[in-house]
Amino acid sequence: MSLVIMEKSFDEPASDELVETMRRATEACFEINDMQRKITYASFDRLRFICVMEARDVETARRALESAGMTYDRLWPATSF
Amino acid sequence: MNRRTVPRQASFDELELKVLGPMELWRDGERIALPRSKKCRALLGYLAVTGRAHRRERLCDLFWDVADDPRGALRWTLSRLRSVLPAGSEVLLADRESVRLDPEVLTIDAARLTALDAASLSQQSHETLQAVAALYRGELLEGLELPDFLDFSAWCVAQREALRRSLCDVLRELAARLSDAPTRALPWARQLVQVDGFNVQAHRMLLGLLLAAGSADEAQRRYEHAIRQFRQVAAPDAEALEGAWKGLRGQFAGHAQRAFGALASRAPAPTCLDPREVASAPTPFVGRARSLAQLRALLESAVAHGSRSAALVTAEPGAGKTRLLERIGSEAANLDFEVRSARAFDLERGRPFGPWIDALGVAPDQLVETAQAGGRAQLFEQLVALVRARASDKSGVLLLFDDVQWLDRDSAEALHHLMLAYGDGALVALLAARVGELPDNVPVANVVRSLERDRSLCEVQLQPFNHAEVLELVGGQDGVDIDYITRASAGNPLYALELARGARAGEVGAPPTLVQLVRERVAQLSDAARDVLRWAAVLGYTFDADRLEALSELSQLDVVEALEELERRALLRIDATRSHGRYAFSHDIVREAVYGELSHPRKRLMHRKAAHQLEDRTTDPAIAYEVARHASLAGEVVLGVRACIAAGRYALRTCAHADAEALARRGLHHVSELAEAPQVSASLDLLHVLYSARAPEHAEAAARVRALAERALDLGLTKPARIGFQMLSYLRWESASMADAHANILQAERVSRSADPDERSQALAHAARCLVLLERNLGQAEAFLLEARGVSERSGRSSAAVAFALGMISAHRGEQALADAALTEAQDLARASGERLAEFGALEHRVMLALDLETGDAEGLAASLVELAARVRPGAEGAIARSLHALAQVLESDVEDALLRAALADLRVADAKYELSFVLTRRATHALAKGGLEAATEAASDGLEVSLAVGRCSEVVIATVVLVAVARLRGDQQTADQLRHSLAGTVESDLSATARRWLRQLAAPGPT
Repeated sequence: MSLVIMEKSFDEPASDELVETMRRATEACFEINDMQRKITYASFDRLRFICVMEARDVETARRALESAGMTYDRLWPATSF
Repeated sequence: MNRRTVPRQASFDELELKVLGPMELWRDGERIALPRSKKCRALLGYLAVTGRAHRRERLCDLFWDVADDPRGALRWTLSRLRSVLPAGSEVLLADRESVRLDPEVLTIDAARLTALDAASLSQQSHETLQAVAALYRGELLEGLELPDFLDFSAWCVAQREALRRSLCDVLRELAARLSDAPTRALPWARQLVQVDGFNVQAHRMLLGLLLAAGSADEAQRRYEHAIRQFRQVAAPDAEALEGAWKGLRGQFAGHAQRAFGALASRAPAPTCLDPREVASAPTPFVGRARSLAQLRALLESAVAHGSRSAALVTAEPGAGKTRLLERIGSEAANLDFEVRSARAFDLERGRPFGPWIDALGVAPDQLVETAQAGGRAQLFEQLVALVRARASDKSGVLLLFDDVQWLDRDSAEALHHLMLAYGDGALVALLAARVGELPDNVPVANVVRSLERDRSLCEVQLQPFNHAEVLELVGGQDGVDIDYITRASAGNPLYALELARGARAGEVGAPPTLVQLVRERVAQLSDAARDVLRWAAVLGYTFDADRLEALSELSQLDVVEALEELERRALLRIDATRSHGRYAFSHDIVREAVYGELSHPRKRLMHRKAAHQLEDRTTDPAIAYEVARHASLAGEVVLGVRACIAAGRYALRTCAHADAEALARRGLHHVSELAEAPQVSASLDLLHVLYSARAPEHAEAAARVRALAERALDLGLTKPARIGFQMLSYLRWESASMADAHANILQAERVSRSADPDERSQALAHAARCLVLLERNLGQAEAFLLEARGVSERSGRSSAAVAFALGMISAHRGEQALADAALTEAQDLARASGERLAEFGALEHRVMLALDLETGDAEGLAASLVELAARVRPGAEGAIARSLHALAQVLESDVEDALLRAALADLRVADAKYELSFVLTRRATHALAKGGLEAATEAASDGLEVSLAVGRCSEVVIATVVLVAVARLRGDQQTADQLRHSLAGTVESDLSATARRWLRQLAAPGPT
């Protein structure tokens, strides 16, 4: 499995409800594609988010997010060290 | 009963078949013994009543299960019938196509009844009407119910109703003619009420005649009994009956008052010991020395050799099989055997593995858990382990299974497995069956035959009692003529006991049948006891006493007293084998006699009440099968269908496939009576159970399910439609298990939460694509696609996502033309709607398809892909397009692969492993074809690593096959074999068409 980083920004601060809605919207696609959220980081002003996921590869993550109708700024594979 | 052997050469004059009541065959005033087999008799009755030829296929469908070699069973049955019918081959006419009885040589009592036209009854002589009425000894083909064969049962019910109405017309006419002589009219009026018990006019006639005859007290009792019956089953017209009675009392006011006054002031009758009541001590165990010796020898041999063996004890009903099993069980316990017993009940089909649960004391949930975890094989192993555990510190195990002619298929197969798989240790199985009825149960008959072939089963047939044994059984000759009883009972112990009881109670007259004897005893019960007994008969052979209070609407005290009376009269006994407060009939014959006497309308109403009493507990699977039975017999379609679904699902969970199938078929038989929407929904649920229990003929099943799923969509029934499409996909992907469908339906619900059809269709199509790319759960993928297409078609809009998913699934299956057409459509639709990424994806897969099919136009398509990649937002598209283009150039134009190497480096950085695995494996196959073993090895090894990482089984197979080929070419057979073995667990049907072609090459010897 690969680590995949998703960057997403908002024009207005994202509420907890909005984040939860996005999570539920992607739930089925993540399950089908064997993807897992590892951790999500948010800026203090809630305008920028970084989500660390595990997926087979970045293209799988991209297809899953697009299936769920999720937009993002950047999506890239990562390695940890 | 007289049984005389009739010579085959005898003429067939005066041959009469009586079907109104228990079936009897008579010739020249002598009764001829018929085969014991219910199916033999039912078939004979069916041919006789219908009076015409039937195709063999029709008879097979009516009387036998598809799994049980119906044509063979029909041939066997016909030969049994010919052997007992005088000049059988001339009475029973059969050729390769059809079977019939010759109506010229056989008279049938039912025909005389139906020949009387209701309109012309008034013109018939009194003697004619009397003779016809006397023909009616009970319901048509009484006791020959075949509850698992629904078409025959439905025919039987309809015929019974028609004949009952004809009889009612005759009785009414007889009573009406004699209305001026009430005493003479009364027998007909009584019979009319018995046959048409919920007809107010019949009761009115009887009550009026009783009052006119001066029998006011009997009239009062009859009325009270009748109104209670009406209220118990909530029969319509209870108020009308009340009104009729009031009217009659007013009409007969003068002498009625005097009679009722006398009734009120009558002193209660002194109680005294009724000789019909028996002491609570059981009857002695008599005779059976030889049978006991055989069975003892079996036990001793099993202990001595640590071996398994079985015995089949066969006898007529009432001959004492159960007492013999109890006796040998008691002796075995003294020999330190672990004794476990259970019996099968005709009415408990649908209680999965019921006898095993009773015998081993297992909680049903435990079996469900095992079945769900490991399937049927593990369930059977667990039963073996449980038997072993019960015998752990004993000398052996003795299993006593009574009435195995009613044992369900799943329990029979479990028994067979136990006998084969038990291993070392003494195990003895004693199976008791009614003689002649075992062939009707093909699965059990097969198990018996198999054990006989293995020489591990012996047969013990119980013989009739002789004079000395009858004398001992009935406790001496006081008040009885032993010679007479021995003759009249033909040595049947139960019959002898009943005759003795009757004789000591002063009953005289010609010996009735055993069933008639029982009915006479029932008629002498108190009203409350008789009510309780009838309700008990409706509930089954065993029943919980606490249900009787609610059903009978008697007080708790009345029920308790009634049960005590029934115990004293040895009609019921406490059943300690299942749970506290449970009773059982003292013998099956008692239950059959009581139930058989109930008229059809009464049975329906009583079963309806019993069904509704449990209605709220239908979700409890242990109760559902019982609700299904009562509701089916009551004609309560909605409740019955719902219960069949619940009970069927439960049976599936316990791997009781035969029960599940029977329940599903029962539900499907009734479902057409529902309104359209519930009918479609229920049909899909029932077919799901049926096809999970038994794999269907795919084409026919698919057509049936598709029609229902489409109709469900039309009706807006989302969940049933989903179930239908799920089943459809599983019918295509044979390796998938329909049992997984339920879990996948939940997934489908999550995928398509949106109510908007377009969004729902897109979500489903996207999910289908993901699953195909991942090569997992392809059945689910197809189900999503089918539903997406259905939704899309109904909205009238074409969808790029749906076409894309169709293209990918078709390509995976190897349906090349359909795949290319669908992908092209997806590309066009995506372009038209500005969906660049979708357009790119569709074109990408067209390139891959063209490369695999070697169509020669991959390079051109890939060049378009490169142009398109430049127009989508930055991502992996550029690297994907360049890699595919370079690959196409290498494969089609044979250019150097330096460009390909550079493109592959970009693809790795982009982390698009699916495309990377595709390109590497196709590069490997090309290099192999060109003889470049080094290049093939490098590409295949890289490709294998990437394919494993992303879980692409198809590419894993292709890369491995290339490496095997290289190893073979290099003469390295050991490496080749190791690589081949690594593919041993591959499920071929999950692979793409391309991968399947490569996999097949592995089977060929030598280099590929």
